[in-house]
Amino acid sequence: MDQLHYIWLGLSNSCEPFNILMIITGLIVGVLAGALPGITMLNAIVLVLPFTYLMDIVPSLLLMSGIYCGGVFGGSITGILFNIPGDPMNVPTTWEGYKLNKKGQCAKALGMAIMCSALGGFISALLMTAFSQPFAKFALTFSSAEYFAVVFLGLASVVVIGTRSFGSAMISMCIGLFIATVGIDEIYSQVRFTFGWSALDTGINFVVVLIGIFALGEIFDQLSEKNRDEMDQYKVRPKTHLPRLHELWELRKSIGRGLGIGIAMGALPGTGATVTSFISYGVEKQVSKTPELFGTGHWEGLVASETSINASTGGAMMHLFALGIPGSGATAVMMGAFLLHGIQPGPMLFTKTPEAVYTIFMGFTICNLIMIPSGLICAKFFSELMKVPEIILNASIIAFCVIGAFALRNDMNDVWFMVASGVMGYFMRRLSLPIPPMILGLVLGPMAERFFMTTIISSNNDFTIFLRRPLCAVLILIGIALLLMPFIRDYLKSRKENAQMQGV
Amino acid sequence: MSETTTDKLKSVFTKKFTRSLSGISIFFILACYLYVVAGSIDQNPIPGQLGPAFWPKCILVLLMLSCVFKGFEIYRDGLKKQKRDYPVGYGHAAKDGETSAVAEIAAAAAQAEAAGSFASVDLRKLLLMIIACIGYAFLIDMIGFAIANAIFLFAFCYLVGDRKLMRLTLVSLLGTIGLLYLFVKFVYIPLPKGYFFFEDITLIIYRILFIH
Repeated sequence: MDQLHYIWLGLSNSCEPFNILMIITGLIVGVLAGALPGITMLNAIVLVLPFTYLMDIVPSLLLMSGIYCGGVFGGSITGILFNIPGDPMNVPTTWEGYKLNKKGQCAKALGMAIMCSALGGFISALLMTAFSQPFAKFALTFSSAEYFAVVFLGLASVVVIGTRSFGSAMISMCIGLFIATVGIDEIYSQVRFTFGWSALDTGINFVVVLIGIFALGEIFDQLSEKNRDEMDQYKVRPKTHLPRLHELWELRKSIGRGLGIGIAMGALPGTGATVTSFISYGVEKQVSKTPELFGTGHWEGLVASETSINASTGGAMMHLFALGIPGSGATAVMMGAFLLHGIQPGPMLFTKTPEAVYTIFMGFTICNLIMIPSGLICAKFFSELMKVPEIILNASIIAFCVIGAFALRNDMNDVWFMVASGVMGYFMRRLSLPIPPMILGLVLGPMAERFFMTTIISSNNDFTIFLRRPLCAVLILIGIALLLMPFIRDYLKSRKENAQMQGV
Repeated sequence: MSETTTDKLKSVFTKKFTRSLSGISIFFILACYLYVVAGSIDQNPIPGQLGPAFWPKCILVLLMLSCVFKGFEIYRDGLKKQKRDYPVGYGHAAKDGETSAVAEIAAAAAQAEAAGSFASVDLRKLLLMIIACIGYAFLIDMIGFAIANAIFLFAFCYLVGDRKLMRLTLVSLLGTIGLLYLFVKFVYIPLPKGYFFFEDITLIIYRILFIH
């Protein structure tokens, strides 16, 4: 009863005009930051941090929650419109969304992305409100072995992402994993593969590579094509159409799976929306009746990944409130906001300031509802960008990419890495080396190494630790099953063909 | 399949097949080289611990295995495609003792199909774009973002094919001003101002635009 009382109190508090204003401001800033290549949602949260000094903790957190919600969705807009995901988590959405755009279904793709994001976020926010307290007890039992198993599962999904060739996908993923090892390693603080070049000491930031490979690589690819249908893409004047109920109902299974995976993965601290979106997309492809259509503009892939991204936000917030451990980069900055106000997040929040906690929870829930009109307005704004001539737009995007790469660390070396990544991305496209596995390896590589090495060190080089912990073993076995899936499929297919030939 | 056709196909596809294998070999050799480099990472090994070279070594071994697997894939897919596309020729080849040649052709054909093509690429334009981006990065550092960006926007559009000079001039100037306001004035990103007198010029531009 107490909880219901606080939920009601939180709902009425979060509907106060100033709190609503903070949510809307956060959403618009978040969507724009997420959508602009080079400006991440995390950057935006960091940038508003100084503004929160003068506010109470509740409107501060609501502002940041708005940016968080809007930011995780925002990257999908430019992904769908320009094939430039705002963040790594929007990559699976981009694979399908951009192809749908090319097929002339841009408006519906944008509308579907907004609705699925809002739906995923709304349900996960409700669940976060209900299960924050009991969850705290379970997640405290996790060790680095379980975290490694989760990341391994994410990497194993490369086999379903890896287009036509398992070998190419593995080569690409290994390149990504290797690039992630360059620089000073986290465990032993030893310099690796820098060849005496000090610029490499701090490693190659994956955001820089991401901007280069996706944005620059795509621009090189588009503009260097001799027989391209000039300006065709930009003659379109897309609007955003929200999907009708029956359209959502037709995709209910994909949405449900995305929701389930998003909530489950979000509930695991440290995994974040990126791993979630890749796993969700991979699983969707595995269970789909038409897996061959993935990558060609398939609604199932789009809705599953988009739903899962926002569905994971509730889980990440839950860690912050229930455990005092940030579940993602964005929530880490939010933790900073708590500390700025002299409040230590964690289980004690529920007993000390339950009213504030539930106000933020309910504000977060409302935030996901308001995201629909905010997303529509921002998507409309970005659709207008398509009226700009192709060459000018591409030149401007390059300028944004350069600023984005530079602004990460105020370092010109990042700009050079970005340009080099763009050239690499172009050649990877032309040589049919799939790019997504490389990105996956680059993003998840450092996490995989950290959790693996920590586990091994703490278990005195006992590799069986991964199989002796039940949850860890299950996750690793699922990952291995995913890796074996293409071989089993091939075997079954060839057996079927042989049987048919013998029958003839 | 006649002898002449087989020879013709072989001459066409063997090149591509060799090129594909060469590509994989480069990755394989690079992985071997980096594996050797990884051996020199751990200068002060801690007894009983895996060390900082363990993880990259695992990745490089995985990369080598992936290259080997990719080679196998090329061969296998080629055989499959040959069976599908040249069933009669395949049969004849077997009779005439040409199996290996046909398999090689088929493998190469599949790989050629899978590999991306550079035939439709305007190499001149591609090269110009890459040079423009490299020049842009170089100029930002030397002469500052404000001037370099205006030059880049104009030059890139012009080189890629937009020859409307008035429009390009407006775009490069207004675009640069917009970016300066957004990132320097509102987001406080200290974009490079350049060296020597270029720094002074940039500061003058900032003052004129009231963003300093």
